[in-house]
Amino acid sequence: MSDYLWDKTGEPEADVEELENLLGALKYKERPLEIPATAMPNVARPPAATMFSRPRLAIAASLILMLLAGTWLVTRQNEQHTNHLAEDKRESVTNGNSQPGSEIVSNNGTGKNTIVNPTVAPKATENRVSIVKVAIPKRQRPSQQFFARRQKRQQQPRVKKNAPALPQGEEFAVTQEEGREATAKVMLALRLASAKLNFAQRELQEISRVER
Amino acid sequence: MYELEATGGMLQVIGTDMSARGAAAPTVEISSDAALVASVRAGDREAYGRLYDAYSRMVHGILLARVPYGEVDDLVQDVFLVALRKIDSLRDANLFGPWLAMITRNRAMDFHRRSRDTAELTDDLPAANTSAPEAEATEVLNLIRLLPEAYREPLILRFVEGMTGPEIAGRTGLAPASVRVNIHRGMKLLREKMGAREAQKGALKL
Repeated sequence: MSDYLWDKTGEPEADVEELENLLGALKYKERPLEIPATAMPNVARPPAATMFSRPRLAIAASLILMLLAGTWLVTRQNEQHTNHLAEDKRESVTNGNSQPGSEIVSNNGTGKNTIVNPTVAPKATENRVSIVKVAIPKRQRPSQQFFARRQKRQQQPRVKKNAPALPQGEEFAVTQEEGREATAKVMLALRLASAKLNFAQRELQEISRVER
Repeated sequence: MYELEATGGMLQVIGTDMSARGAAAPTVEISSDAALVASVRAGDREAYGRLYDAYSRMVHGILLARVPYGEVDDLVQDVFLVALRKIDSLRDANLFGPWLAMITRNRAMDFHRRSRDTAELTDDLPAANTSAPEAEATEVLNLIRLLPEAYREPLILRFVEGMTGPEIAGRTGLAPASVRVNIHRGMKLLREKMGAREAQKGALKL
């Protein structure tokens, strides 16, 4: 079945044809599309918009720098702490607190020092592994006592268990000086990172301004 | 002249010239919107020109159903520039037509939103320097604009832009069945309105 109104097949209806002729006067008079040079995708786009653009590289470099600085500072502080402990132990050894012939082995990184005496054989009991059985309770709702205990704990000042004794006198002054140096280095690293981030932000703003 | 086009993965025979209906031998032109969109994304200016040629009538018709006649030509250009800027956000390149139609409708709404605060739209009325047929055409166009929104767009695309029903469906991404229904119902309402207008004119003459 032909349907002229739908697909222009078959016999045209008079009023439909009249409307076509009448309204056809308003149809689109084609004119060339004016495309600005910067409007085309992948054309005239500044190279900075790519994945490895300068601002992105700058930000990545700053982050890496900050990470490296942080790692270096932590490692250095650990080493200093270990050396202090080793010195303390040496002093105690020279004062006769340990058995003759023993030596101090410093384990860098772990912060632990062990006193090894090759002349004295370790006792058999030292090699035993003590197994403590811990009964794991089933999941229960915390009781009122639990909350009371927790509140009490929170009110008490926090004291770190096995914390090393604070150094005194001249040693304290030296430690304080080292602390100041470390702070100054961290501040310098942060200032550097901040300057780089500012530079990256300025670059981004410049690029977006040029793109606009 | 007839052209064979692949739109949204469907091949359609499209009549583009009413005067040469059935007279000329059909020239077969197979073009894929997806391929053209890919070329545009690669920076091919000519490919976008071909998309413009294929879709400018649709954009013009959709705008004409919503904004004053005098503003439409500039808005057509504007819509194509917006689409070019956003073309990377088009997920399915085969759906360029429906995507462009959506941008056009949004642009028309945006036009009304911006002009609401400035001035009332009065240029729907025929200007003093327009010719008699054009004035009459504008009058009929205003009658179409009084119809429900669903009927306006297909009727204008059909009568003003000279597109067929299947072509309207293919370009705008609407279901052919609903386009068909809307054209027929819209035509029925338009006949009633035109009849009422003629009766009014007759009464005025008496």
